[in-house]
Amino acid sequence: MTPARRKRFGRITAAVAARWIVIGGLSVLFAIFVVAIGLQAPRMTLATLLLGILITAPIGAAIVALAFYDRSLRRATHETARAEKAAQASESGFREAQVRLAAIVESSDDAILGKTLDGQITTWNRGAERMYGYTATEAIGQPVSIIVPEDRLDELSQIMNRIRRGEPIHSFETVRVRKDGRRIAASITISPIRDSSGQLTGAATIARDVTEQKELQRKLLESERWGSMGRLASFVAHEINTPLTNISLLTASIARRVQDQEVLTRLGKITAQGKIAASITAELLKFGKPGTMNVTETDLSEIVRAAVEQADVFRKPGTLSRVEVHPLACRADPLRIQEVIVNLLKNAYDATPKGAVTVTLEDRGDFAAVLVSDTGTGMPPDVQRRIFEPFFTTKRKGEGTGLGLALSKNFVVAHGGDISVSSEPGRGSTFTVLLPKNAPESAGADRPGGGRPDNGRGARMEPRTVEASPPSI
Amino acid sequence: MVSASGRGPGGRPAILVVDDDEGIRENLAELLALDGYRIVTAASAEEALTRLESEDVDLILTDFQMLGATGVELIEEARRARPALPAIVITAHPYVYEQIDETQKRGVRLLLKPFGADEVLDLVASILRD
Repeated sequence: MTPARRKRFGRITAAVAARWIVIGGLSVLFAIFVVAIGLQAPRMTLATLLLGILITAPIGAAIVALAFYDRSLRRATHETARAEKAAQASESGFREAQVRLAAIVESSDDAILGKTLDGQITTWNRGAERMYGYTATEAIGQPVSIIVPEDRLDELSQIMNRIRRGEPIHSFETVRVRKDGRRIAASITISPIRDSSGQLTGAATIARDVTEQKELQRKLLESERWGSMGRLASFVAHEINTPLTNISLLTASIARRVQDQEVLTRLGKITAQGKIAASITAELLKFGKPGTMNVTETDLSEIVRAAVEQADVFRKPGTLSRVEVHPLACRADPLRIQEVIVNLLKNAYDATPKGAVTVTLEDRGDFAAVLVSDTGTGMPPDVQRRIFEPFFTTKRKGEGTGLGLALSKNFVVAHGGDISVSSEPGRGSTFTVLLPKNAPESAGADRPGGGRPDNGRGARMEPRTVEASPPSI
Repeated sequence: MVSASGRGPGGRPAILVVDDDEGIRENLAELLALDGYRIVTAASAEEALTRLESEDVDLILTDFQMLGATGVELIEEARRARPALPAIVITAHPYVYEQIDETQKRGVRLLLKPFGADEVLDLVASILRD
């Protein structure tokens, strides 16, 4: 038999052989009968001839029937075999594809999770473990609401409704909560999953932690807004200085031409007002210098001592000044940080007609802290919240620009630090300035347990910018 | 013929006041005149140089940023004919001024806006005393 024919007729099994033997045997019998009848036909009676045919014919029919049956049987078997093989091949191909997909899902940086239409978690990849803090074992079977903060549960049910209608959700920005309770900004894409018959069976979520990104965006926006505000303030200040000079010169010129004491007194008052205006523009300009920040390793105790001395003019007679410092290094522009501390001290003295203003230094791991405390009037919570806002001031008109703290904070944040306040009305306030001890790029990355908590991305973390966020106080 | 020093009859020192802002220019001129100085004014560096061709001064008091050439360029030009001519530069933009090459700033005093009458008079007096 040719290979083609063999293919068509399948392998020769015992059943097949048996059938062929039977067919062969029957054929032989048939042949014998035909020959016998043929030889004996002239000598036979009609009855005997008929009997012979009656016996022989069924045998012939049986042979034909068997032969056809055998063929169709073998064909069927062969086709079953082929179908099985095809099924196996596609099954193994399918499994391969599954394995590959699973590998992709597992190795993805993003969190990928599957859930039922009721919101029960069915799959949970490594990215999800990293992002949310739950292991797969802990997460699977739980409702997806475990990672949703309370104030976003309404949103979740809206999302689930859309999914049940078969609508996907793309790059939706929201807030999620980790196992440790920390809230993170997440960008999520949810796709409905259908089975082979097109029925909705669940949903797949791909989520990405965008907390860092949003923080950077916010700071960029703020610094941009501040940058243009700073430039505006600078421009205004510079322009105003010219008319201020004119006022001063003209006043002096008048003063030299008159003897009248009344006139001279009033001229003196004009000059005093001019000096106030000049100090305002000076304050604006002091912080608005374009970009020149000389950040260097510096000892905070020196800066503090110099600042305390400089700020002493603002101290009221009934107020004590206390300085408890020890050498503490940090990375900062000494002159600017000194200005910041002088500003804080001035505010402290203004708030404390009688009492004490204390400056202390604290070592806080990656950061060095300067604390300026006073026993003055203190601030209620709504003032505390707004105290760093530009132009927000608690002072009377003309006594301040409301820019000091905003500018100070801007400065410190540009260093990679932060200023915060805690206060109690009637008891006093404490301002805390945090400054990084190290250059931002090196902080935390190669110090186990130091710096910011690793968000699980390990080596793939982008180089951190100057705007590192210090631990909240 | 103009003498080597700007002091004309009576020995009053002469000051060249240059500023494109009329207010400052006139006020300074008046103030300094009241203090006994002879004043020559100009509204720009170019005008100032023209004036210097026919007049001699003992001190240049000039704004830094003006239309056209800057006060520093004016001083440089003026010092070609009269090296070591004392000069005061007035500016509201110290940062920009700081960028200027040190060699051009030699012997030039800086006066920051806003300044008071006393400041400028004291400064002028101290320079011309020497």
